[in-house]
Amino acid sequence: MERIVACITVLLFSVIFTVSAMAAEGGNPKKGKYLWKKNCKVCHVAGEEGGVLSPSTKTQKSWDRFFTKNKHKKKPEAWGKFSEKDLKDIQQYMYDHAMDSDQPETCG
Amino acid sequence: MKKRRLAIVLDTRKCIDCKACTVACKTENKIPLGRETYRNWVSEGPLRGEYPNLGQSYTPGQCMQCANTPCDRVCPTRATWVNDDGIVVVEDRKCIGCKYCMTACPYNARYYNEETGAVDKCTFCIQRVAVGEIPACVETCPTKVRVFGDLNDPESEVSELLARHPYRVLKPEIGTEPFLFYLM
Amino acid sequence: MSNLFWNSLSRRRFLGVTSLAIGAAALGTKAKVMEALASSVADGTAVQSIRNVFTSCGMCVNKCGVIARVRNGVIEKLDPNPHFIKSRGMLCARGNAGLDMVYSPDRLKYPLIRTGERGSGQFRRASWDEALDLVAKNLNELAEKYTRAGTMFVSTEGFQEHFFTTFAECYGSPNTLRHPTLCLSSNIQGFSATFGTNPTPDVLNADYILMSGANRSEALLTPDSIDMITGEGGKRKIVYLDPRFTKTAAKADEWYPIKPGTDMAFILGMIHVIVTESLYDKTWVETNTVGMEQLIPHIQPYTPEWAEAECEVPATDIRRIAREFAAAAPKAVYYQGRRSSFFDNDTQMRRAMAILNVLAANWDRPGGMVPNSKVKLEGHDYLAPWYEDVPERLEKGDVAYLSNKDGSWKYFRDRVLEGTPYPVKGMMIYKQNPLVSVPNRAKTLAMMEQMEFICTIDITMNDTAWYSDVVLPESTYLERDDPIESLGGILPVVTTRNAVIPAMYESKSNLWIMQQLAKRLSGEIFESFNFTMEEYRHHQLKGKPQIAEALELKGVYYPKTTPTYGKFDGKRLKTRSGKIEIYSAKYAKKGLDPLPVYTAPEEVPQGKFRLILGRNAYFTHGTTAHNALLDDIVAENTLWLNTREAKRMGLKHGQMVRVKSPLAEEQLRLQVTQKIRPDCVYLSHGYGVLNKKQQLLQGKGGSDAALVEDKVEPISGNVAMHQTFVEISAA
Repeated sequence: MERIVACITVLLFSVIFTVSAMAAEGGNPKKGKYLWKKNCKVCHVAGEEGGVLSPSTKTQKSWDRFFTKNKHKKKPEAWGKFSEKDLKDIQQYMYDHAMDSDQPETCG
Repeated sequence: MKKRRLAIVLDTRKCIDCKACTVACKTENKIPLGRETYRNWVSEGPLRGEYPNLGQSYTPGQCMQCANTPCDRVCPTRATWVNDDGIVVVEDRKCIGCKYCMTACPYNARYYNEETGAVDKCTFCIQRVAVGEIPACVETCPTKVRVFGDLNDPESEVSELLARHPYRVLKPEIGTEPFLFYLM
Repeated sequence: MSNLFWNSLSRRRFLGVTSLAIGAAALGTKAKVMEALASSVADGTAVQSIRNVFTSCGMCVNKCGVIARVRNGVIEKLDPNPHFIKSRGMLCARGNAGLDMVYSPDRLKYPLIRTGERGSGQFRRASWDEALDLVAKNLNELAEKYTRAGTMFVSTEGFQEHFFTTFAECYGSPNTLRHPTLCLSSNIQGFSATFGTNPTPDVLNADYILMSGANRSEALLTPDSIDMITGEGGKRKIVYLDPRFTKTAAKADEWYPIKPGTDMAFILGMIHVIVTESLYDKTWVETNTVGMEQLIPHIQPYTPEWAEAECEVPATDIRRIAREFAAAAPKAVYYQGRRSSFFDNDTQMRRAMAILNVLAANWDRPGGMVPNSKVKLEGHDYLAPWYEDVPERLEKGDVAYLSNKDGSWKYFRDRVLEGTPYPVKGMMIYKQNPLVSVPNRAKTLAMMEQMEFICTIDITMNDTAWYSDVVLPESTYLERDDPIESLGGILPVVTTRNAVIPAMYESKSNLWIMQQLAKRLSGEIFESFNFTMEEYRHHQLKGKPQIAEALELKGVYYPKTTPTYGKFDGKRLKTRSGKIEIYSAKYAKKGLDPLPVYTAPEEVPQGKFRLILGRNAYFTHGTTAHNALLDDIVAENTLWLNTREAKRMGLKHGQMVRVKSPLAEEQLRLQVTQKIRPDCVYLSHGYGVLNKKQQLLQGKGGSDAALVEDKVEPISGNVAMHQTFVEISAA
């Protein structure tokens, strides 16, 4: 019984945690775009180490997962140079322009 | 070489009255600006029925390149005549602008060109045909209403269209023997 | 499947070069014949230079392939490029009339600086240096006074628009304002909420096509306008709803003069029939969609009988059409059209359309709704500088789904006029003409009046240029090398523009103008523009020599000539659930209707008419009104009024009438016709200009922008242009 309660608690916790992380709120997406283009894009283009990557490569959920769990596991040193705030800004930009974001398609 | 008989076959069901043909003709043939100066046109048929049951068709037209030409017979200077391909031409140099031919044409296919001082009309874009191209109106049409070709060639698209489909000519009763054929 | 190519090239040449002598001698004075012959008969004396140049049309959004014939440095004729698969080898009236954009005596020739009051039309000729210095000085001062968000950047689509929006970003303004919220943003929103993208109806292969107000015979869209007529759909049927008997109605199998604003009722009625009679593919729907279980109860009240009372299409016809549509599925489409700025329920109406398409299981299938393919080109690498303390978009939060790049005209302009949350006092304009294109012209004028600086880049002295402080002449599309452009669609193409002739007068390409301004602002900004067009195009095609080669040889590149269907089979869509969303959880979360709920439009008040707008095939928005070749076809707009109503009111065909809306009164000529519902009047867009420079437009027609109220569709921020009621009287 205790174990079940513990499991439920963990589950509840993770639900709450996911929800708050999902929100990706508070970052400055414009700053995030600048930081992304300035620092990340060098590696994340065709033929470079990081491979092609853009905000629309992933869903909002997977961006959040990336920023809270993965944290650039493949190359942690690339992550280290950013401040907490920088990362929040980049996360916000990626989230706002994710594959399933609210940004509509356009014309021309 | 065998003589050609150039003709246009039109499928007016495809015509959306976009007037691409009219503007293409005007630029290709350097026709002066103006609403009365044109070599080809698209006319709106009468509106059929009563609201809300309506129907309308659009009919492009131009010189019918008749075999039995009423225009050249009235020309006092022999400025207008039929060439070997069956194209009715006007020689600007010989034309004195008397406009008899304009009156004689039952299709209203001629206009007076102030810039050349001569009556002008469709020549199937003779200058394009001369270098193996098709008339501008035929080429530019979005839905390809017009098909251009040689009726003396039984394998041409125009010959095949006329062999396969019923067609009509405009004002057959006056006996002009037009070479614009409208599929029905 | 239809063969798309119908041997167009061989047709162009099928006669072969014969009978060169056809009366050439006899026709000696016909200069044209002589000229044509000169090209093939080299006699050594009459040296004529004739060049054929591949390029793309710039007269509207379609960008059809063009072969421009240039004789001795003068563009003589624009022909369709027979290789250009997207336009099916055609060129319309406007495309043919492109010559007049270059050779019009009224085009802008030199930079101009205003000397009199705004709107007085008093300008003086300036050097490029002086004009550009003045623009840069103002941009710097505005940034100091109002932050970089204090200048708005207004533009519309075009091959060089990218440099303008990039300039805006590098300057640091979040406030770019483009055309989609005057056009199709609600359409994109409604379909994307359902499919994760706005797909293209496969008109060529569809057997059954339903169209609501999408006037494809007059508002030409390639290849749809062509395929609608020439497609080999076999048992093809077109059912068309429009308050007007347009040229599309004339081509349709059935036309219903539907009551404006009630299309959703018609669609819901159809959905009701298909759902209650189980006329849809249940397995397919179960596998590929979410929300069918919510749709079934939702649709119950929307019977065809209910729909008839709303939309005036008989219930028996709705039932029959629904059954026919379902029987033709999946080769049946509800064609969503392009401009959807009609009513304030438009996003939800397009959602209903999308759902009906879902029930046809036509997603990514022949004759159905096909997600666009696009050839990927290398993008422009640039880094916009970072500026601290620049506020967010002016109208952020005003629209449920606001595009960062496009903005929403209605809300944006209102906020400029209120001055909240911050002032916008500078206006840079490229190619768009808001005084003609945005409803409620008085508000646009008021917005411009409170600007401290306005600069317009255009090719003609349109109304917006007329009210500007600095006017910069851009070269026309026939005088510029443009970037390589990838046009998405069922069959994607890559095209470009090559300067057919050198730029005339002192006109310059937009890239050059942006480079000059960037240089004047800062070295850091100029970094983003430090390339030639040749280098830029080279970069775009990096690693794709086959595209460069095709552009050189045929003026167009296309990777395939038959469509690929089922690209998305088993793949995640760009919706939240990854599936097609009949029920939109995303909308529910925002407090929007997760399934389309019908609301009836306001009834036409006694003694008034509903004003509706539209296009003809000789005209693109405001930009082609001032073209001598097209003016020969239609010189002004007229007010359409139903014959019965005209008789009742004692008004005669051809007489001048006053049209009075709550905003303005315009005078134009009356066209009495049976081709319109008795409760509506119609006028075509783009006439009734304010400027005194465009000679062909002086005193012609009436302005829809002046009359139409700025109602809005709140989910996409699109304007609602068909909700204005007007009174008509003899002038």
